[in-house]
This record gives sequence, C-alpha cells and structure tokens, in this order.
Amino acid sequence: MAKKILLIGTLDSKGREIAYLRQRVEERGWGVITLDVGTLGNPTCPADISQQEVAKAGGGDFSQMKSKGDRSYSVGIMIQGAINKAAELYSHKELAGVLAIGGGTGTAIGTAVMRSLPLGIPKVMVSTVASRDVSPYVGTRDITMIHAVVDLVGLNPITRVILDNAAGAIVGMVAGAAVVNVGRSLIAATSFGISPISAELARPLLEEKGYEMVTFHANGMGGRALEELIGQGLFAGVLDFVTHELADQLYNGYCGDIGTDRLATAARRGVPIIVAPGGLDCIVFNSIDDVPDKLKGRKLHHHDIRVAVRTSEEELERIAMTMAQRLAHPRGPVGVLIPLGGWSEVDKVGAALFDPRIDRFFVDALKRLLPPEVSLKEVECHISAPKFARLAVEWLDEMICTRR
Amino acid sequence: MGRVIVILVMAEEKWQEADFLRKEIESRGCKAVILDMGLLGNPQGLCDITREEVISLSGQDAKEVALITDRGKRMPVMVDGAIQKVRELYSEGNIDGIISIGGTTGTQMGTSIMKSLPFGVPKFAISSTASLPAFASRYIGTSDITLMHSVVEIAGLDNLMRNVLARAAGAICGMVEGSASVPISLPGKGEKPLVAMTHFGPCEECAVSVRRQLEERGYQVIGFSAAGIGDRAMEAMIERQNLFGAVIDLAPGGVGEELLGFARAAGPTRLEAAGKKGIPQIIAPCGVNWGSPLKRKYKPEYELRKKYDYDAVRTFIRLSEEELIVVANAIADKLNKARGPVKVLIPLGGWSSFDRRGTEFHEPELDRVFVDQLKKKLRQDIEVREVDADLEAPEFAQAMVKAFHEVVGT
Repeated sequence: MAKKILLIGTLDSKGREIAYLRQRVEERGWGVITLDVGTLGNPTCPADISQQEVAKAGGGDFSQMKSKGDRSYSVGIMIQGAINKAAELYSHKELAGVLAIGGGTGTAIGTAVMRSLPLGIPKVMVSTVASRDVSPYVGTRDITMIHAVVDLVGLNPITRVILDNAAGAIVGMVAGAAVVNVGRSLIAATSFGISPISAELARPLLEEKGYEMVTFHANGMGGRALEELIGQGLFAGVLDFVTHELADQLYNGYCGDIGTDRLATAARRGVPIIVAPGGLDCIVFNSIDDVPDKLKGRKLHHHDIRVAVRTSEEELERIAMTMAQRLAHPRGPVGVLIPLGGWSEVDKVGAALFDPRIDRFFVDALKRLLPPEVSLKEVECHISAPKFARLAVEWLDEMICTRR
Repeated sequence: MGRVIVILVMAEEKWQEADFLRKEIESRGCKAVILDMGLLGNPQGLCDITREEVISLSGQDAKEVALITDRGKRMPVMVDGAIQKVRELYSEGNIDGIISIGGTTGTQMGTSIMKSLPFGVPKFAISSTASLPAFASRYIGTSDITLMHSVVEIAGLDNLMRNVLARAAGAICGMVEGSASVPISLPGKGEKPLVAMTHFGPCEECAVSVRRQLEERGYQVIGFSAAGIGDRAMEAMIERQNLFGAVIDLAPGGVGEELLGFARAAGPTRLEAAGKKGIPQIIAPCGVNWGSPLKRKYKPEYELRKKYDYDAVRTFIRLSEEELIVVANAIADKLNKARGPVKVLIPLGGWSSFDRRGTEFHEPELDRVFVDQLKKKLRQDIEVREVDADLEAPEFAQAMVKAFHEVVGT
C-alpha cells in the first residue's frame, strides 16, 4: 500500500480547513488519511479515522467521554488514541508524514503525535501559537512549525495562503526526504560556546577512521535530544566532551533544563561513550541578576549578557556523584577522560576561572565514586589541545572495534 | 526560468550546508541564490550575493565597516544591507521564497531579513535553537515564518543534517510552487472588502455571530487572536499591505495590557494602523476592563482584586479606576488620530462572557468610569453608542453589524 500523509485536526471546528488541505495535498499526488481529534461537536467533513475510533484507541469511550464533559480528560484520551493510531500506520509502513492544524489545544495534540514518531518522518504543524514559547510543543524533535498568523477559521485569501504553504511544505518534505541512513558509523559529540573545541578537532580524526560525526549543542535542549537519539539507536559511539549542563542544573542556570536522563542513556543501552568534564568549571546564568546570593563573590566571567561563575569543590563533588550514578552498571564500555590543564576557554592558565586545585578535587572524587567498570584516564593538557581530541577518538575507536 | 529561492547564510560557518541546500533545491527545479550575511571570517565558498555587496547596500562606508571587529555591531549592517537586496529582488519579481540556516545569530538575522518581505511570500528558517524557550516568538514575531527545528547542531554535513536539509529544501520548494498556483487574490473593485476582526475567548459568541452575519452578506472576515501576537500581526498587516477594507475590533484590551506591562501587551502602536490608513473601525470593549499580569510580576495588591482564572495559564484581574482612566485616555488619543470613520459600541450588560449581568464580576459602576472618561476625551464626531445588552448577547452582535453597515455600506 502506498504511503500517505496523516492529517490531524478537530473536524468539528476546522472541518472546512481540513477538507481544503486534503484537496490541496491530493492535487499534488499524495494520499491523505484524516484523523479527527475533535471532542466537542460533530465532524463537518468526513474522517478516515473517526473521533470514536481515536477515543477507543486511547482507552476511552467517546459517548461516555462526551457526557463527562471534562476537557482535559478528553484531550488526554484523544492524544493517546492519536499516538496509537499513528504508531499503527507507521509500523505498517503506511505513514509518509504528518500534518496537523490547530490553536492551543490542537497544537498540543498534533505535536504530541509528532513527538512520538522517529526522527526523519516529516512533521508539519500549522499553529496559531507558533510564535510563542514552543519548547513544550517541539521539545527535542524535528517538528516544523508554520505560524498561522490569523485564526484558522473560514477559508479566505489569508487562510488559503497559509494552508497552501502547509500543503506545499508537507508534500515537498515527503517527496524529498532523504532516508536517515546511519549504518554503524555515526558518532555523536557535544559542543558549547565557551567550552572547548574538542568536537571540531575530533571531526577530521573520526572521518579518517571512516566515521561521521553529529554535533549537539549542549544547551539543555541539545543534551536532551542527544539522549533521545542515543535511545533510538542512531549512534555507534558518543564523545560527550561537554557535560556542562550538569553544573547548570544545580542552580537551574542557562542550560540547566536537562531532565534526569542526561549522560545515562549510552551506558544503559551499551553504546560506547567517552565522557569529559567540558564546561564543568562554571555555572552559566542568563544575566548577572540571576546569580544567586550564595555564589556572589566567586570568580566570574562575563560572556555577553550571560555570566559564568566558577564551580566549587562541594558542587563538583555533587556532580561527581551524579555522574557516577548515571554511569553505574553500564552495559557497554564507558571511559572518563580528564584533561588536567583546564576544562573550557575560561578555565586555562591565565584565564578568569582557572583553578587546578578545585579541578583536582573533582578528579579524586570521581575516582572514588565511579563504578569499577568505568575507567578513568588523566591527560596532561588542556581540553582544547589536539592531543586531547586525538586520545578521545582513539579510545572510542578502540572500544567500538573491540565490540565488533 | 525556474522560481528563485534565496538562501541566507553566514558563509564563514555554514557555507557547506548552504551549498548542499542549493543543490537539493535545484534538483527540484527551482533556482537557488546564496546570500552571505556573514560577520567575521572568510566565506568557505562562493556566494551569489557577496558580503561586500550586502555591506555596500547597507549604506555604510565599507572601509568603516571593515574596522568593526565586534560581531554584534556588524549584525545590523548585514541585516540592513540584506533587506535592501531582498526588497530589490522582490520588486523585480526575482524572489519567490526565502530560507535561512543558522544557530542563534544566523536565525536572528535571517528572520529579521525575511520579515521585510510581504505576507504570503514563503519564508522558512532552519534553526538549531528553534525550540529554546521564548526563542520562537523572537524569531517569528507577527510574520508568516515557518520554523524548522534542526535538532542537531548545524556543523557539518553528516547524514542527519543532510536529511534535515533535504526535507527543508522539499518544504520551501513545495511552498513556492503552492503559492504560485494560488496567489493571494484580493477583492476587486465593486466587490465586498476583506474585514479584519480581533477576538478572544470571552467574546467568542459575539465573534461567531458577527462573522456569520457578515459572511451572509458576502464579506470575508479574517480573525486575529487578541492575545498579544495576533492583534499585533493585524496592525502590521494593515500598516504594510492593503488587504483590509474595514476593522471590527472586538477586543482591544492589548492597549491597556501594553501600558500596564501585562501578558497580552500588543505593542505601542495597537489600535493605530487602521486610523492611519483611514480604514473604518467598529470597536467594542471586550476585556478592556480586565488585565492579565504575568505571574512573575504579580504585585501583592492584585490579590485584593476580583480575579477570574480563565484557564491554567491565564488569570484576569479587574482594573482599578485609575487604571481604567489611563486606558481610556490612551484609547481616546489613538482613535482621535484616525483619518477614517470610527464608532465605539459599549454593551451596558457587561463586556465579556464572564462579567455579564448577574455574575459576581459585573461591576457597571467601574465600567462607567471608563466610558465617561472615553467620551470626555474622544473627538466630538466619534460616536460612543451604548447598547442595553451584554457583549455576548445576540442583540449586541446585531448592533455591531448595524454600525458596520452604517459606516461601510451594505
């Protein structure tokens, strides 16, 4: 069966618009499956997957749900049902891409379905709330948001342009999507603005050995995305040079919103990983006003409007404990590689946050706390030295080759 | 010639990715033009529109620009120059779509440049920071920009990045073809004009009823959500593009929210564009007597007021007499500058679904303070019509439609 585009929306309030989208997508030669997530009224255009069917797939009963009249309960059921229906289409290889339209609620439902699907499946959300904080909707996923600008009510010259663009975008994406083809040679690495250039130095070395490298910006969202994609089995190995997010998490700093999985996925899934302390010399805050009183008086670096505050022994001990916990019981090889000459561009001889005594304390704590399966090596150089990147690449390559 | 898509990129960092995108776009039959909006460092490859050309179009002296070593200070130069260039291409009919690739800096610049093109020209930004809290609103603002989260850092052509770029190329080409087959068609002479209408939740019944009545008469009504972005977008579209023949402003609360620093702030020029263009306006006061303070700016004094929890994220508080007077003055100032006809309709039975007569939130004495002040400050020829119904009652929607026809005709 030919793959189709799944079109999600509330057919009670946006039936006309969805029927128009369907027509525009079909004119371009793609089949459409409409999925109705409306819970208020009756659909105003035909649904391929009806609201009753969606509710059932979500573990609910539509008529019961309707009489109950609890909006958030209904939305929860419809989200779960739509996710299950999409997963079914995906597993039958019938899903080419997902297109959804909606306001606040419709966006919550549409993007929840999109977030449940793997990277690479085209995902387009036409939303009236695209120009707000979209982090809860997009999260770590490859979702494309089209700002509706106007309310998606009625077909007029403005809404037609937005809907045409949406039809064009999804059709163009599904027709052109290169297949994510990773084989066994893709390596994930982390990088960060003021942190080391290790990732860039590692890239050519990896390429020489026949690998490709993907970089994640360890800014909170990037770290989460890395963990999720490790979880999807995309990578042969991980060079986690920048673990700075763990420091920010202590004080909810600039990159602190990382959840509880950071650093844990590779060890849990047995993907070879090298961990380095890039950026653990500092906690970054959005502005000087956000620095807690407790940290005032410490060594400080002004980046732009953001400021980096030196980490203390006590904080690094907490980070060492977190690292040890998350790397415990690894199912694959895990190495920790520590450069003794500093962990970022502001932590090196002569720089504002340089403090080898505190760094030493961290290394000793880690040695004490790490599980026996994890080996730790120390290197006499700065984290940005070519030597450091070379040793990291060689160690990771050795781990991967040994396993093969 | 095929349709032309401009690629905005900082060529010292991401030229390779732009070049890959160019090939993907051209394999789909469109032509791609790379514009270098780079700041410092040499481009990694050839660009069709060079950095030097962009700088010269910025109007700044190239020698002086060469002395700027601060990235941040080069950004406005490149944005200004690139805006000149894309506008020139647009006026010659040589641009059908625009796409940018970048992290924070590249997306910030790229989206600023795109915003200079009219509504409807496909605009697409691929960004590694699309999903960071509050970044999307900064990038998109009120414009019809599509934002794609790259998930991975845009630093090298690995397989994931190629997949992302191929999808983006497909999307922008698909959009460009679609927008060519259905161009924005505005009503011609003698046809009914497009009507812009603001509304939000608490005046939904009124909005639905007004829309239905106007649509029955052959008008097309474009809705804008008065939550601080949609209503700003309406002002921008009235200001920059001649799309609308009349405005029904059911929910101009963004004026007061702006003055008081609240969540639905709609910018300093809210309620001004239609007047400036001389477009007729019919205005109702839904939500004007309420404010939605940001949770982090909550003052203890707000706890003493009547408050209404609209949903999990929005709480409205009643405005005080002093605040109502400030807001009335501001609205009067704005409307007094109007070059076209204006009518203000006041429903005496309450200004929203939750403060209608019979509810604990109905406070006609407070509302009266606003109305009296507004009447006192408004130009004599601007009518304030009082209607003895609440805003959500069918009688009020009928009164709005009647006033509309008086001004616009039938």
